[in-house]
Amino acid sequence: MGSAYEVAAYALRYWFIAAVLVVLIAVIYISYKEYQQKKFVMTEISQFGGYMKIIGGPREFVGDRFGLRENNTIGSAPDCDIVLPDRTVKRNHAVIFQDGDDYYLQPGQKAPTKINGRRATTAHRLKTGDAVSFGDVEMRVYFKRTRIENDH
Amino acid sequence: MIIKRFGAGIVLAFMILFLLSGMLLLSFAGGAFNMEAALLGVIFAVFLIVQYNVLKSIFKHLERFALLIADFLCVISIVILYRIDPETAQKQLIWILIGNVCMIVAMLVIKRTHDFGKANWFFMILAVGMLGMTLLFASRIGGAKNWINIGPFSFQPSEFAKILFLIVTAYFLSSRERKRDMWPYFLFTIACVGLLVLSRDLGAALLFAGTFLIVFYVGTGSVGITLGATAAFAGGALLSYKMFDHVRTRVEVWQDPWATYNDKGYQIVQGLLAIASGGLLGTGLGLGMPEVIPVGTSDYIFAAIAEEFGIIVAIGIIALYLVFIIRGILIAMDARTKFDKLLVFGATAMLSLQSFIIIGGVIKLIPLTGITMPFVSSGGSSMLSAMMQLGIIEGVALKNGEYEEAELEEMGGGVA
Repeated sequence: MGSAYEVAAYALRYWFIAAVLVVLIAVIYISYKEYQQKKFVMTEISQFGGYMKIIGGPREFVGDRFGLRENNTIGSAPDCDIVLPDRTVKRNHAVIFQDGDDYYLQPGQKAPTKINGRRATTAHRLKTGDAVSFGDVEMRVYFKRTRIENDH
Repeated sequence: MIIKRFGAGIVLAFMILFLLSGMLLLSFAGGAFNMEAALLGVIFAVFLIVQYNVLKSIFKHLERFALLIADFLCVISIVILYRIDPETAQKQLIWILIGNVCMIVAMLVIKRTHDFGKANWFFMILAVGMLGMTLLFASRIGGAKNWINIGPFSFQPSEFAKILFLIVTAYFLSSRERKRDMWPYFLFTIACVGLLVLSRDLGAALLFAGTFLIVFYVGTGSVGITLGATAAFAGGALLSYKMFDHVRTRVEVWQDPWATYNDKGYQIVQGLLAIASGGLLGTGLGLGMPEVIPVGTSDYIFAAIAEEFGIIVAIGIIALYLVFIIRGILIAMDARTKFDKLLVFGATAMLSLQSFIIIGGVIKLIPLTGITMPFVSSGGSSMLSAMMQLGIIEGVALKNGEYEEAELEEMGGGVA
């Protein structure tokens, strides 16, 4: 019995080493993968100052979201940042741009644009929750709240 | 835009297999089948599975990797302690269970708190009071005077003062802009380190001073004061080397343990012999002689592990500590307030310093100071304080996760 135990213990040392190495490598690999993914998502998100959501217009678009960067061109042309393929939307319909902390909407010429139901022809400042419509497409804008500041 | 959580089940599975195979092997050690060892292993395995899954489902943003690493270190601790002394292993299991409760309490407290505000003054008085009480009433074990006996229980107040020290450090370094407003904190540090040196608990004094230097530099970025404080601590170390026989002996023994093999160097020599006889692959669980090392269950547990499991496993354990440190630092960098950052960083720095001071001492890299190896050494107080530090890390991780989720939700994302 004693020697059987010795053989078992002697053989099992390889298993113990393997188990420790598997745990070590698995912890490093999984946590690294998760960190990489989190980093990717958080950088992706930090580029956007807010987003627009389609709330009215052609049924198939409702609910779509678009992230807002520093400069966003909106229109039906495929090279726009935010493409709205609708016949009432002009090819280059409007631009939403950032100036300081605020976002402004600059409608294109003769493009039917409304902010909260009122016709806009010049640049206007946007607030979070504003309803904006380009032709028949109605959208709502949301901006990120200011970050949770440091406590000192 | 969804952050997907990866499953870490494989880590838990191999951990449980390690525990069960180790305990099963040990249950045959005496020749006949010993039910007790197998039972202990099964109880701990069930506990680990329940703990991990329950915590994971209650707290969505749990930092799982730090928890798993701590659990794995506990597993190794239970196996090797049962090998050396079954009674200690049973006690250790109970302390691990209590430690988990402490961890959850610390986690919830840290999650809810902002920076403890005025309560920090009370913490300072409490910490100094505990250390002062140690100096007056403690009993002496192995040269250091750091145990307080109350009835059948004995505990080390310096272990709990550590937690208070971390909180006070984070509070003062985050709430005071100018360095001259931090004077109560400087006085507090000097009082803590001084009391520890007077009660001859040099390992803890080194730990407090080292944590102060690291966290102070990280918190303020002031090179001048940090260098000045380093010089002051070096001077203090030199002074204590001149003043205390105890310290001088330690340094002499470190320089040449073989000269006093029969007497003071015995422990270090036995530790080195144990590591050497283990070699690369180890002697096999139960086939070595770790019981000849004095204090083999607490301070010298690293030598026992290196003997029976081999140096590869021992290096694996050091690597696990390193991963733990990296996870802690990542959480500290993610934290949204300066208090949280410094608190997590302090807890991580303290745990890493503690593990490397004792591992360095065992392999005769630096003079040996008697402190415990976090999560592995036997001992109630040290297990509780290590678990509380883990709880601090987890609590801030929960806070981070909530902020992160709020940010993601603004953009229509989430954490899965």
